[in-house]
Amino acid sequence: MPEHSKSIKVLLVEDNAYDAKIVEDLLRAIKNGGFSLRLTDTLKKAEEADGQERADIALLDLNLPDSFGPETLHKAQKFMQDRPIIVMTGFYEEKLGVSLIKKGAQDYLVKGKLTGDWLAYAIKYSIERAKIELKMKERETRLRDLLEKIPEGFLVLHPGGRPVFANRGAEEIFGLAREELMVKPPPLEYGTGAPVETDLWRKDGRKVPVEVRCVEIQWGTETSRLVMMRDLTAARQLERARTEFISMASHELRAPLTIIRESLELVRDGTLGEVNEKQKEILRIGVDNSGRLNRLIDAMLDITKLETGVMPLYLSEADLGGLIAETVREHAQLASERGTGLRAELPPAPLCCYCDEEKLREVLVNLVSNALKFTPRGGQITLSLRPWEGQALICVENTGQGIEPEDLPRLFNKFSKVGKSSEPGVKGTGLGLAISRAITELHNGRIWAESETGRNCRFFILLPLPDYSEAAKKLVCREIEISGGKRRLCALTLLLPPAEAPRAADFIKSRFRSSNAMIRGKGGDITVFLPDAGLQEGAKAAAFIQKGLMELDPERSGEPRIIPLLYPEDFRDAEGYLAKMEEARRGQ
Amino acid sequence: MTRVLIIEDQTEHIALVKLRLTANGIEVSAASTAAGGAAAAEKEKPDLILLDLLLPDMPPEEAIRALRAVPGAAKTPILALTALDPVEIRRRNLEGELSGVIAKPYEAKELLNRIKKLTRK
Repeated sequence: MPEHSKSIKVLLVEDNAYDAKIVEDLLRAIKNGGFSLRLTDTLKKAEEADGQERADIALLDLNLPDSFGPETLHKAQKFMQDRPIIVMTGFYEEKLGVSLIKKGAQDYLVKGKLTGDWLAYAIKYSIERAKIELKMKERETRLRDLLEKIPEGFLVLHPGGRPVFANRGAEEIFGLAREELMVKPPPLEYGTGAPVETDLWRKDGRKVPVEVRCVEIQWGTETSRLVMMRDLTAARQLERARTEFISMASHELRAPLTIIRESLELVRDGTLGEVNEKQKEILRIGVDNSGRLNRLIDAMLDITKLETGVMPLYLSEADLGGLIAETVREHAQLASERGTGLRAELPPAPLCCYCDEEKLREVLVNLVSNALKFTPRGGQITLSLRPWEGQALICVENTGQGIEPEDLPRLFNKFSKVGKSSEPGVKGTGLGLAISRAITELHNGRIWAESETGRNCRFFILLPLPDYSEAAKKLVCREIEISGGKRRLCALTLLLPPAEAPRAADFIKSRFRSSNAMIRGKGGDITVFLPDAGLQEGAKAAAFIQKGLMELDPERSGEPRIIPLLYPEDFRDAEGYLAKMEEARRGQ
Repeated sequence: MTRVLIIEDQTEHIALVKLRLTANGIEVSAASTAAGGAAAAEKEKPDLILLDLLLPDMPPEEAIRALRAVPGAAKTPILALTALDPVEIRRRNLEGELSGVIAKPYEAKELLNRIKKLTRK
């Protein structure tokens, strides 16, 4: 290998032969120097020489036949790019030196004052510094590229609100070029804290739903605000498509079913003339099956609602043991008819939590009905409950064939028919376990199955045991999320005598469709949540409920007290809601 | 005799409701659009209106408003008889405007009871 390829290649650009000689002698005199020098006397020749053999560093005189002054540095940088340049000068001028370094020169040296060692150090350090600078530049480019390619919009605002950075995502969301955006960003809610969903009116007249999050960041020496924006247009479209599906499927399927059912009923109940027993029996089969079809439609819509997060949720305190005992009682007759044992194993102390009792009952009924279907005559079904690490573990176990291990994972899928029923009976919808899983998850629980093939099958439900404030918080979070569109939510709390509350809750569940979430506390208070409702809608709903309660019990003394709380005016998150509620209650 | 106006675009369904109600001593008139229903309400002055919420000529909010604007019908009970999902009724905030909602498919007994309750004078 020729010697010069290992050495540092120095390109000296100097038109003064005397000065060039000084530098040349200095470099040559360095012991074990390892420098190879090429001398050129114009900038043009320097560029050509660099093109033939790439230099590691350039030593540059500013005043050359083809270029003069600081401009020379700028021109040399064009072909040297990220490689270092040291400017050489005859006289030291501090102002010029500083300005050259600012413009990217690695060093500024006075020719006459140099020693060989000094020059050697300057060259080596310049090369290292240039490498570090290049690395930093690459890192910066990488980060900038990331920020540019992320679809989210990023905007950095200085304390006064002046934008100092905007990415392409921000340009796209705002529909503005960066220059415009940097001068005057459109007004948005830029408060730090929980993300806010809002509508953005763009200059082109389009309304864009966006989620805005703000955090404080250090930007230079200033504590600035990083605003992150996500375009929710696609998410909203999907939401709309899903709710439209619920609405259309419901109508298109239930309307003809109504006609089928009522036609059969009108004939069967003799409204249209006498019917004999045989005819009645046939018509009954028709009515029963129209009922089955309706259950299937309900189940399909339920699963869609559970999946889209709009399933009504009515929370109150319930004893899980009581719920299990009740389920066993309700199925005792059917079990004994089938020759199957059915019993409950309950803990000595009650396990209570805030939950949607009716929905959990539906899960238990699903599991027991399945067990009844798959347990052979003489078999045993056991429902058990026990505390487990601060949670409740429910198990529905039945003896029998069990489930093949490969079938276990798809057991909770929609319409997955696994196993063979031991006896013909009421046909299921194929959605029971999928709904059970969704309901369990709605309660932040987990459901799974285990089986010893040929011996038994066990379904487990692990449920957290939330108290009032935990349950209320979760519910408030969910309702705030559901109310996405108009970003409004009204919570109405009714203060009732405790004895009256259960009946009032039933009335609200069955007759008051404006709400799909309610929580009933132990003290007779009922809170209903009205998504997309403001003060006006809240007042209307309160009047409807008050009227309903008066009709329910005309003897009651006076109207119930109602506390309204509005999102986002009165509270902005679940914690805020609980604090406000406490305050309002104390004020009573 | 109680008089009920049914506004519903499915003629088969109108026929069935007519059979059911007349068999129970209720007089029934019918319209198949919201506009037709408003005209009928003005002419017939029914004791109660049975309203399908999905009519061809206007959305439910407007249909209810049109019926409420009929002279003399501002206080007439409107009972929705609908296959709309409860979640949709909630989303559209319709409940407050109505005297009640009966979901299709309905039990004849429930329909008769609700009509009786709402028309009791």
